[in-house]
Amino acid sequence: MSKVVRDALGSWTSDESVMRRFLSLWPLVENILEAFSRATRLPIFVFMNGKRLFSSSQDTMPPFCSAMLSHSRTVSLCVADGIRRAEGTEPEVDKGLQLCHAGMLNGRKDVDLGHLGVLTILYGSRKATDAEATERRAQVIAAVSQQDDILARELVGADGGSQVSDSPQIRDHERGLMDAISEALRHLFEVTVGFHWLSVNMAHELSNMMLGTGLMVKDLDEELREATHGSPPGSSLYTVYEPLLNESRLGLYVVRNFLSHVSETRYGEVVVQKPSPVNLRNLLKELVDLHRRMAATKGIGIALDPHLGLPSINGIEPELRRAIHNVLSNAVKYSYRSLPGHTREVKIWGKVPYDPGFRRSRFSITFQNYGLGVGPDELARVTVAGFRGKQAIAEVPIGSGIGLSEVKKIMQVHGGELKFRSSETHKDEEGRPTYLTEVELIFPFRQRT
Amino acid sequence: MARVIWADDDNGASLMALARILKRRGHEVSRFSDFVSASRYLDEQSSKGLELRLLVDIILPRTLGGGALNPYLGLELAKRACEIGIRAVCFLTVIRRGEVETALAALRHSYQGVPIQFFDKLELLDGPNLDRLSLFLESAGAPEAACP
Repeated sequence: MSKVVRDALGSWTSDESVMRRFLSLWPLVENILEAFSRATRLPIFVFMNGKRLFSSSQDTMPPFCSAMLSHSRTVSLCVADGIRRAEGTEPEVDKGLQLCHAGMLNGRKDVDLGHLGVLTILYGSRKATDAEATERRAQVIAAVSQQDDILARELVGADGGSQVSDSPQIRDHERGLMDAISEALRHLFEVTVGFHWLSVNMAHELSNMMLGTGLMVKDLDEELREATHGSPPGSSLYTVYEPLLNESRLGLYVVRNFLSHVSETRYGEVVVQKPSPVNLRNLLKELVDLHRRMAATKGIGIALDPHLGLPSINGIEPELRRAIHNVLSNAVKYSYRSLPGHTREVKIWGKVPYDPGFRRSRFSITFQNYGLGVGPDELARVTVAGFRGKQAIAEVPIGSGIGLSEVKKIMQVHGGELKFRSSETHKDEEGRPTYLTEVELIFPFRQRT
Repeated sequence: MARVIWADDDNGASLMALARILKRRGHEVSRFSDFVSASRYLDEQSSKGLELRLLVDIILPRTLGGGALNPYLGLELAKRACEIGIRAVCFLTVIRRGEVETALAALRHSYQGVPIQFFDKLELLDGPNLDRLSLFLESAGAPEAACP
């Protein structure tokens, strides 16, 4: 079934994560429709973008439909008819009712799923008894009899048999129930697949604007530097545009965290990115420079151990850059509440080797800050995507809570690990606790002998 | 200096500054905002035997304002460019690399003589990435350059 669903969606989206979300919902949708079908004894067929995605089980079918659907020759006629009607090329819709090609009365409900297309639900197949319906069944039987006499006799028997539905109409309460189910399905897709799609596209739009802003700043800076032979331009314009590049870069990290969080393949088994030599010290210096201005506006310094020496590793540079960014961003964001007069500083140092005698050589980079922390009851959840500590929520309302979960994934990809500690050190003048928080990024490395 | 064809529907608006930055680094940049106009230009230029590099977004409209985007049409443009002898292809996109890795591998396999590089737009402002992009456009496909 997943192949049929993929084919149906394929012309509308090739976004694998959208596809997977749709597929994860689809069994639930099938269960809902099957339950409706069994409760009302009305069979259901669902079509989307020219494909039949679902039909309820055979025992919900009236005898004529059951006979039609039990032979390959006639089932294809029914499917083709369903697709034609779903696509609206035979739009004989009257108050949500249609006659099928074989003179059976169907209810029809279109569920508009926005960018994914329209889900058309044909339900009912009750034997209509008006002249036109009778004539259609007669024509189908006549056509079949020219090729398959046994099947034709079966259809005649089914059409005239005693096991007919107890009503020639689809009743109001049945249509009301299907209306309610359709609306529920529309909402279900909207708040799951639809919202996901919207969020990803919004992220792309925002990232384009941030990149554009960053590039414009670079362009302007290069042009002004040409005039000053490479020196930073002395004009007041420089003080206005210079922070924008950093702001753009910081914003792009937020988008990357989000896209990585919702991506189905980035850390899956499908793609293994190729590692290359990475100089972590250079990355640390680059990111400290990136965050230094933001930190300074809060009166916080960043102290990177000037003697820091780290082994070179093989890794995925953009992802390691993102991991360091996330840890540093938290450290700056949550540095608060030191006592008056105390220097507030995020400290960064390394330890090589991290744990001598361990079965493999490891080194660590530690980020330490004073400020908001995480309570003992919350510690185990800091790397759960979406988690934010109580203090963080109270004091810094905006945050997604996916930063450390992303760091954990990145460290795992590199064969390393993340350690997080947070403990109360003292209370400020108003009695609020200040925490010392340390994040350790621990990497394996090959020790030279 | 490289002659660069840049196909991206954002290159006339939010990303226009990139063209200026590349020009400042000595590149000659021709901008196209859709698949059809970029393809037509490629066809015209191919007969002249000029050394062209393609810079392309993977999400590319067939024609500007011409309806729904065909997902990943930039890959199709890259394939056409390789067929007519482009010197190098550089993808610059927000599409996650993992989502197109198979297609990239197939492209590299089919056109082994054409250096193909992937740049993530979201990472372009980081570290030396902008310089790497410029350097790739300049050196990739040159006789002495190794395939990245």
